[in-house]
Amino acid sequence: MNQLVANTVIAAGAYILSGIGFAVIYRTTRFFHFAHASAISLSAYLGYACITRLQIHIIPSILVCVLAGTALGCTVDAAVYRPLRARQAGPLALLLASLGVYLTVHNALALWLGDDFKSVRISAVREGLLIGGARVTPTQLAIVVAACAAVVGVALFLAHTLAGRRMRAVASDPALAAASGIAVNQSILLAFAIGSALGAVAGLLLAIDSGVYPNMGLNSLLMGVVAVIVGGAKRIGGILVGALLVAGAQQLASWHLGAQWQDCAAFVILVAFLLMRRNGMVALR
Amino acid sequence: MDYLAHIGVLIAVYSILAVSLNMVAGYTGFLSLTHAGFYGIGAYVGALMSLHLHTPLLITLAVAVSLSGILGVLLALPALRLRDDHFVITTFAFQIILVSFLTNWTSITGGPMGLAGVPHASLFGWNLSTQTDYLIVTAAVAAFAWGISSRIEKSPLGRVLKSIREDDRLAASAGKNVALFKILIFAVSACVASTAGVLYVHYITFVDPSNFTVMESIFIVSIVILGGAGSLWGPVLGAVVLVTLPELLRFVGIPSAAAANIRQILYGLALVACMLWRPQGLIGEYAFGRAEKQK
Repeated sequence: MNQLVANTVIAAGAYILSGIGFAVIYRTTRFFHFAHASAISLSAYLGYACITRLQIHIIPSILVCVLAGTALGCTVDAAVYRPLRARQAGPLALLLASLGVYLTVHNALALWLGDDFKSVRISAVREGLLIGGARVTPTQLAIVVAACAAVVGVALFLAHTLAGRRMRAVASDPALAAASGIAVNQSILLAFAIGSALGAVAGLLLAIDSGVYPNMGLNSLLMGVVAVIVGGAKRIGGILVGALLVAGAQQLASWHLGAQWQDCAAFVILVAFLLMRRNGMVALR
Repeated sequence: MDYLAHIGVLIAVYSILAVSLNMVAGYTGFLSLTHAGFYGIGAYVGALMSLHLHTPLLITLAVAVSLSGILGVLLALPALRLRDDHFVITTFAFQIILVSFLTNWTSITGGPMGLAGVPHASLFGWNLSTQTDYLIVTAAVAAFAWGISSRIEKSPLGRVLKSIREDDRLAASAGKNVALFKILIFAVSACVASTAGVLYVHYITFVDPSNFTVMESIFIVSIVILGGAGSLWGPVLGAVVLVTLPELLRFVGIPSAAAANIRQILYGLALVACMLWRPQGLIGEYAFGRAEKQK
């Protein structure tokens, strides 16, 4: 039972970490940035290349991964999305372009390091820590801590800094924000930088926790997206509720039906929420 | 020659899929990522019926079409309430749920291993076996699908669908039963897509879930977008271009291990380039996500 709760919290942490970067970008730009998955994958593959292949120490590896992920997000925004926004393209055009970017990056990575599963090991495998009667590995603990820190950090940033307030202004009405002298494109670029950096952290931690494979970016992003939508995209805190709900339902599904039905359970919840309560659990009124 | 016929079969199969997606995406404006799912339904129904019941092609097609049509109606329900990106993510979820069933319902679908040894199709006592046989049949079905699409486009139904695409409230205020039309076109589209699956599984004689994932759905969407959404010939042109383009890679000597990845990179770049420079596609009339008026 304790293990079940612990597993739920760990899974929720992973979804939060994958989803929070997406949420920052989504709430600012109002379109589905599927290519966020490529920032997650890129960081995971770079983590594998640095740590396992080149035997670089963990700290510089983290730096490389986060910088690369951030650079990717910013490049995609500047090269693809900004011209589309300048043409007043709607959210579907941006979504389609982001699918194209995802396909390109995803396959370029697979071409570079291969399609097979890879594990990233930073230390010898040990028995996990015992917390409240449940086994937790240090990496899993790091995921949960990083997830909490990310939610708090993003919430504080959006509420209390000038750049964060500008971002919220752009989110609620880009035209009005531009008219009040906010550099809209810069705010959006900043959202992509922060979001992609968070995605890169997620990618690296997930790589260390459960290995690297080509679809990992999209798989983890999708769970993050489910958490964001179920929780409600308008409030950053919603993702906490959403992730816990989805992770809990998944643990129950794998308890009763078998682990292979986890994804199915998550997406059934997603469809139900989209149909019945599109604004999520924590809706802004 | 067989190689050319094989390419021809692939072009015909993807033309069927693209033409059917065009009915919902191009005419009606609902971008769906579930199309590989309907394709898969057709393929699995085809495989199961011919493996266990040895039914002739026409009966298999009839069953696949009916089942897929019912699922199409199911997919139309979210389309009654959602638009744009919320609808896309819903179809994404449908697609993943469908593949999850194909992968996990092992007792019937064979799970990740799939079903092997699917017999070749028979049509009025004619046993299809060579590539050329299949080329004739798939091309005939593709022509039929195109004919349906053409009839819809030129009929009052097509005009209602396009008015739903441009502004569904206006269509409703003109007395059109928008919900009914949406359900109808989703059902027709799913029916047509499933025929491609039935033909494909008889041709390849094997089926597993990996052919019907969301990646395949994205590919079908790319065909429609690149060719031109909303136009009659656009999806066919898109299928010709996106099926033959990667085949050219074979002739420049790229190792086959890398070919799959390079092919997908080409699709991805084509999609981005299309959105950036030619959102209406090669010969299309409707640009997805052009600036929409706020309602």
